[in-house]
Amino acid sequence: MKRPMVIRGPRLIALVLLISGLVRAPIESKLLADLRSGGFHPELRGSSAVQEAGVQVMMGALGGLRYMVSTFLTLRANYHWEFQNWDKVLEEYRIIQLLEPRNPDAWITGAWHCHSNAWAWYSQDDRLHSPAVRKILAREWVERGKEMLLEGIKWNPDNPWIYRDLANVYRERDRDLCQAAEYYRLASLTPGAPDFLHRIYGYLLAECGEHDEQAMQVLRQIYDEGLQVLRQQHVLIWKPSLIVEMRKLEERLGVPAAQRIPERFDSEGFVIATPLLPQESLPVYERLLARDQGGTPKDPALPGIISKLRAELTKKSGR
Amino acid sequence: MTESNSGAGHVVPVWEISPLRIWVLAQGTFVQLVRMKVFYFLLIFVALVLVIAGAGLFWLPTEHLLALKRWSFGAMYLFTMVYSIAATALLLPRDVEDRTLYTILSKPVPRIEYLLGRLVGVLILNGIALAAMFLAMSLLVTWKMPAVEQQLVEQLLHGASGEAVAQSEVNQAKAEAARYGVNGSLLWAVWALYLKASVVSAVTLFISTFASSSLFTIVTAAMVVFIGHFHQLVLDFWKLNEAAGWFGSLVARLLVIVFPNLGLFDIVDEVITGTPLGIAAGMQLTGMGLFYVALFVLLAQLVFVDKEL
Repeated sequence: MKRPMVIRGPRLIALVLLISGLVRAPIESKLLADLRSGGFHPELRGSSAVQEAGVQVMMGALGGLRYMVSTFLTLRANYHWEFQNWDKVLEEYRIIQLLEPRNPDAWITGAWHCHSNAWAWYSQDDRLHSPAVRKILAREWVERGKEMLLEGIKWNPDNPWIYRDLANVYRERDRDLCQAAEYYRLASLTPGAPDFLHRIYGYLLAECGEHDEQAMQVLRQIYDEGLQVLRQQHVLIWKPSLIVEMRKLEERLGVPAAQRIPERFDSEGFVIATPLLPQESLPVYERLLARDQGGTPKDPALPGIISKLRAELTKKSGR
Repeated sequence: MTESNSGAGHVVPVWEISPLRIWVLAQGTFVQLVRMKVFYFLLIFVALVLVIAGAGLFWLPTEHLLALKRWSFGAMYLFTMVYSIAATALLLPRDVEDRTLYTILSKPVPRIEYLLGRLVGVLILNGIALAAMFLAMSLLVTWKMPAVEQQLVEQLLHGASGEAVAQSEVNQAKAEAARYGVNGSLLWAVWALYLKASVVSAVTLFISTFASSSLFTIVTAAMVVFIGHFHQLVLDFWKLNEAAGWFGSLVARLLVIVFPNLGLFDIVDEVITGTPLGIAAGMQLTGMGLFYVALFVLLAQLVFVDKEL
């Protein structure tokens, strides 16, 4: 009688491993794809396959300790910053960004060291180079910061703060207000972006001077929506930046008087549409406070503003 | 030596496996491990997180809080990995050495119950240790949260460059701060860590069934953990280098099929910085973890059932 063939030992182990491996491979691939779509297990970057492999080896070797190492590197970068060793700071942040590309802070802080700290040091404190060289070096660090933020945007396209920082670099370092406005616009389009990003976009567009009509459209929309909200919320004071920019645009575009925004809104229960001198605005504020007397002021900042204005006027009259 | 414990064990059907016997064995394992004073590690952990929480290593409260969570999770990871390998690797040889194994198997205890009992004991210990560490970290994170909230609101006001900020935007900043606090995703992260530790324990148990010494088990299991984190690299190599040669491709395929993909459970990094993990993905991850545990327990049983004791 023929004995039935029984697979046992290493052959059986190999068979089970093989079958389970073939079964789980597609399930694992799907799970990995699902996790990636949710922002986990970022696909690694690298200009070449070798670089990418190197990054993966490093991440694999670190396993679950990746972020612990990154925190340690942040501390080291802070140490180098204390001694203005900018190349080392940059080096540490490049590794931090490789380790945690989905962390916006890694890009924002790394870039801040470049476009603000290193820039300021080369512009003001560097004693090793001539003024001309210092200017070039300072410029280089600003560019490095910009590159870093652009790379950060690729990894975190939904984060408004990286766009905002890049816009501020264009505004403060390059004086390129049109480009700054564009990045504020992109920042305002990210999910959950605060409203003031859209307002700053409008102001910068107005200030840049190349897109007046577009700027007027943006600001007019903010103005109309704001007016509605102010009425609903019984907000009494409106910061004048929007009105100042709109008035400038009205002048430049030659908007007819009838279509311009009104001067005051006293009759409707709230001020202020134009920047007033302290002696002009104090009675308005005092009247508003008097209206709320006996209860809590509708605008909690009101008493503070009044005392500040009074102090300012007393100081002026003292002179 | 009786027949039952000197020769190969017999295979029992699944319905004859007794959860009660497994539980008794697990309790015994747990007590045995606790007597090794492993929980002293918790004191080191608490000291570590207290130092990080108290030291002014970072300027910003958000950075401080992230560092606290990262180091806490790092310590949890180290503990669970080292412990899952070392404790599991020691169990079988120790039982053989002090002859406990023969005492247990001479009774009507199937070998699978012995293996499961030992594994569950290690898993309980890992679970308690992780829960305690998570609790300590959560308390400190909650303590630090008001400072983070304040920082984010201040940043919002500063970032507005003097522009009026609506109450809804302030509320949004506060909600953003909650991202840094203790939330459901953080629980998923601990769970993923636990799953990974469970898989490593199961792998170690499997290796210990055929290993010649504890040292061999520890070293081999550590290598499996190391290689288990390179799945993605190997997969990419496999995909990119189809034409590079049959040998490389074959090795890549074998590695992917044989070794567990431990990198899959590394969700901690993203969760710490605020990426939420959905229930569906969490459940899939759980399923994958349980699949691996079941697979390696099965493999351990296949070896152990034939083992001459």
